[in-house]
Amino acid sequence: MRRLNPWHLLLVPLCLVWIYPFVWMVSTAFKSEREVFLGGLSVLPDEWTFDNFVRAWDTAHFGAYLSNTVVFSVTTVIIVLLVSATAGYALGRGSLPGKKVIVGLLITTMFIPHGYTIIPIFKLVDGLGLNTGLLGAVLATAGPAHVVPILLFMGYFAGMPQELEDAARIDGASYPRIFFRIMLPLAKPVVGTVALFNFMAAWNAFFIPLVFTLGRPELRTLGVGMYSFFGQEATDWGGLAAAATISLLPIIAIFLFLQRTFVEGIAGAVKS
Amino acid sequence: MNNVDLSRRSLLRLVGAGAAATAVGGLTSACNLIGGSEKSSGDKATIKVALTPDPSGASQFYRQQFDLFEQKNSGIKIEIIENPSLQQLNAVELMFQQGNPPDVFRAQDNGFDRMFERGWTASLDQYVTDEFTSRFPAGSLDPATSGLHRDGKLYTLPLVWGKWSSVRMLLVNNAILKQHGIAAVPKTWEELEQSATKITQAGGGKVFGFAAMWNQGDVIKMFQPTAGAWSIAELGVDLRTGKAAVTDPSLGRAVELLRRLHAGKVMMPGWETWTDTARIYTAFAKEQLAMYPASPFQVNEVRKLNAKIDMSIVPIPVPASGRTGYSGQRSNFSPLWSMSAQSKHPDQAWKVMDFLASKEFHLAYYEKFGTLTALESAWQDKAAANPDQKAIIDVAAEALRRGPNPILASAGGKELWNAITGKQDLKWADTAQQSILRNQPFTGPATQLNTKLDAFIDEQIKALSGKGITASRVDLTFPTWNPLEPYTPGQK
Amino acid sequence: MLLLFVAFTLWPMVASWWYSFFDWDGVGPATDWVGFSNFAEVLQSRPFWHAFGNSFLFSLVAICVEMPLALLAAILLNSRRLRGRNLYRLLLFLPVVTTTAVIGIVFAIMLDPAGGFVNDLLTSVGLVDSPITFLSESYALPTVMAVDVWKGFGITLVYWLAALQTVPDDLYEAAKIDGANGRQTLRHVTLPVIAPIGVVILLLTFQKSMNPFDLVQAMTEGGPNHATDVVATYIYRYAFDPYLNAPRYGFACAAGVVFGVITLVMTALQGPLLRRQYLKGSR
Repeated sequence: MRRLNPWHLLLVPLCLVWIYPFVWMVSTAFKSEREVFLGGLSVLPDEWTFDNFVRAWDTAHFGAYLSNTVVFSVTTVIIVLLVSATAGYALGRGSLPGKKVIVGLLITTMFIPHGYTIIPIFKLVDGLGLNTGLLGAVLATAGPAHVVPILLFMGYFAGMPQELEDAARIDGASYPRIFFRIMLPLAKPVVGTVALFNFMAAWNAFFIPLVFTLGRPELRTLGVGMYSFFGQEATDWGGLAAAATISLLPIIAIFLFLQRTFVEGIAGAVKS
Repeated sequence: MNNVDLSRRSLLRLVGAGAAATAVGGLTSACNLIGGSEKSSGDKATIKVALTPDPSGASQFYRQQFDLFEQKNSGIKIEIIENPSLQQLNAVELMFQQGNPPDVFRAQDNGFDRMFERGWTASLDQYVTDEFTSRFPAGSLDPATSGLHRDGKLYTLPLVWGKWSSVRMLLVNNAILKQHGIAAVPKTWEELEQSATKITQAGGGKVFGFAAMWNQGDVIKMFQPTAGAWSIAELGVDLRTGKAAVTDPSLGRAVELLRRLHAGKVMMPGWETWTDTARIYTAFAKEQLAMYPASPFQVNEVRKLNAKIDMSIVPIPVPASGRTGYSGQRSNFSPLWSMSAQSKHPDQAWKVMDFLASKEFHLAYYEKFGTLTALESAWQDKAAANPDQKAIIDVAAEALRRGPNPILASAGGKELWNAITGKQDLKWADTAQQSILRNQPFTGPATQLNTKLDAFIDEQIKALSGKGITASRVDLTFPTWNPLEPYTPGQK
Repeated sequence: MLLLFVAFTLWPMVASWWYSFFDWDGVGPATDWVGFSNFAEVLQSRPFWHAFGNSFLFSLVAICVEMPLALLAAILLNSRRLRGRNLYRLLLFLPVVTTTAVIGIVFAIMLDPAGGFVNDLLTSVGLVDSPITFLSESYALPTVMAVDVWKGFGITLVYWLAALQTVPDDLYEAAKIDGANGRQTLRHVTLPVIAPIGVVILLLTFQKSMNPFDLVQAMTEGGPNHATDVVATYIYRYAFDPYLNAPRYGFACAAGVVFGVITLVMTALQGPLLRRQYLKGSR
């Protein structure tokens, strides 16, 4: 038996308190409407019920929206990854002319509060005729989402040892080859991070998918469906908790899948 | 061991099947990435109805109702477009801009005016028959007071709103009152204050006498009208004189009442932090709270949580010196359903509108959600037999009177009303909240605010005339209005 | 790529600048040119500056508290010797994915001065005499900030974990051979290597924490008495509140532009310092 790491003594209780609200949300999904409020903070429902899930499935239109959400999120992630990795590489490694200006511009756009820039975006997409499919929504989501990933890739590539690239160049590898075969695989931690956060954002996205599918409501995503629980006068907490619980499963799965990339960086690669 | 393996395999198979199903759906969605032409539905006219799935369960309710409608009207197919409540107006506006408007849509209260001003709503006068008018209480569709007419023409139809959204009442837990030796339900502000203090002091931090949702001064808007003209709390203006009236004693006294209750720690702790109405009706349903001012829908919510609670539903108390005003009802109804002026099938769209204002629909809505709707005749008999609903109806009869409405009276009145309500920095509610929470006098800041508000109104009048809209204090002045009497437009 | 950037990032920004000169409700063409009057109104609005100050405090807390704590947690959870680190990472990340509206209601119940368990605990231990109203005018801001740190922690943690992957193993080994202890390794090996990406993380944390709209809206709606108002809730209330008769899109744009420009200037002032850190790392 190995000696128990003393850190566990701190981490275990901390994590239990830490995730309490999440646990409450999941347990609320199994509580009756009465118990949600009268039962207060207890984590175990007195009577287990699946009514919330049935109602949530209907109200948020899971059946109709799930596949849209998958397509929308995956496409968005792919576009963001492709564009931001190449741009981040060019800015982080290369001696691109006007690099400083571009980085300055990127940082500038970070500080416009988002949300209400939706009106110009909408007018643009409407003008381009992209407003009847998910592609418009994907472009509108992926477009502004690029800045953060570009900066992340830039920072990451900038920190990589120069020897790696030099070695590859001496071997006569072409520029795209160096990028796709050597640099990108090494940037796995950032790829994982960017994929995770953009997947989450796209999965939960509400405003853009709503606005871009007005003409074809059958193309909506779950983020839109989730908002149906908020009424003018009352919120359906049980239904919301149930829907949130279902729709979080893929995100947690993605997290578990991607988290390996946060610990497998260039650490091993440098030596070989 | 074998068993475990097997179940794992079947589990995997299930996951596989799920993934495959998603993938098939995904393919269709993937094709939809690009978009395509709209589906045609044969020779049927498709009517698009944009609505909100509110309250909980409304999504299924509307589909069922429209299915019934389609059975009776075989030439019409209804396509429902659901939007989240808070985004409904934005969504409908964008649909119009896109050239893809709904035929029938929900645009509530002043949301309707946003649509009307852009010329997107169709006049309904040509469809109105005597039978249609007879569904509504006699005289309630008068263009001057209905709230559904603009420029003398009918443009929109109601669902719930009207009396049943304006009325407020005090919910009282009779059992708690009895326990504390209080024999009668409070009828005056003073009785309310005394009873509440007594209960909280004896409650030992478990039971409290009184609480209210602040909600931008809503609670003051419930008390002030019993002591003066309601427009003072509603708009900050006395509509008898057309002048800012934040300094009016009726407002000051209502603020002082709350200030005393808060400073004396009589109110349930944390009341000022509540933003979700569920907090207050849950506390009441849990019998932690003896009294609170409520709107009608909360009566249902309380009953759902605690069917056996012994409660009274009574009018908001009045000052001991006597009532000097009533809560104001600015129009008989409030807008909700409208028809697009751009509809390709106006006749069929009207049939849907007609259905949405039919007795059968209103009865179904009443039965499903327990809400008192605009068509009283649809549910009157049933509500009379339900003690809670009867109490709400009685309170409305006692505490509510029709008042003047600058928005409907003139174009200038409407612009001024919108400008004043849109000017966040000049809201008395913020000043009052600060005075209540910090236990500071209200009169001083109120006087300053009053001067600023009057100056702002003058500025607006000038600015509007610059835009070619005639507006003056006359638009905010109804000299013959007596807050103790119902008001008829144009009365002498 | 450039096209995407111009179309969906640059153009909306420029357009919102343009619209800020109009009295416009967001629908149809903007025609009512009002010059700088929206800007004048924003600059003279005391509630705006109050909200601005709060936004700034949010980011100060995120940078001074959340970032270092998350870095420590990341270093701990990056250690191969810690068993179950994958599970811990997931658990610390869970608040990020918990629905914000639900967080609002859970904390409201937990912190309730009338029977909430935090207050019950504090009074029974004897730490306080009477229950604390955590969301009252006096305490709401620190309370919401603490919840914001809790919710955003997982994001910063993941950024740091990714950053730590730039440190090659052989550097650690070399440090070990040189006899460096844990703290020395952190100071002389880890921190210098992750500095460039650390600068980026600082920027991201700053930007994210300036706009805590969802959480504030869910917990307090900016109240009580505007105690927790931030710029995002200010703009929402002044320009987009569904109860307003006419949304003031032009005014919202002006408020956004003022806010954006000031934060940008603040970032630019840090620029030389940040650039030095950044360049030190990238050779």
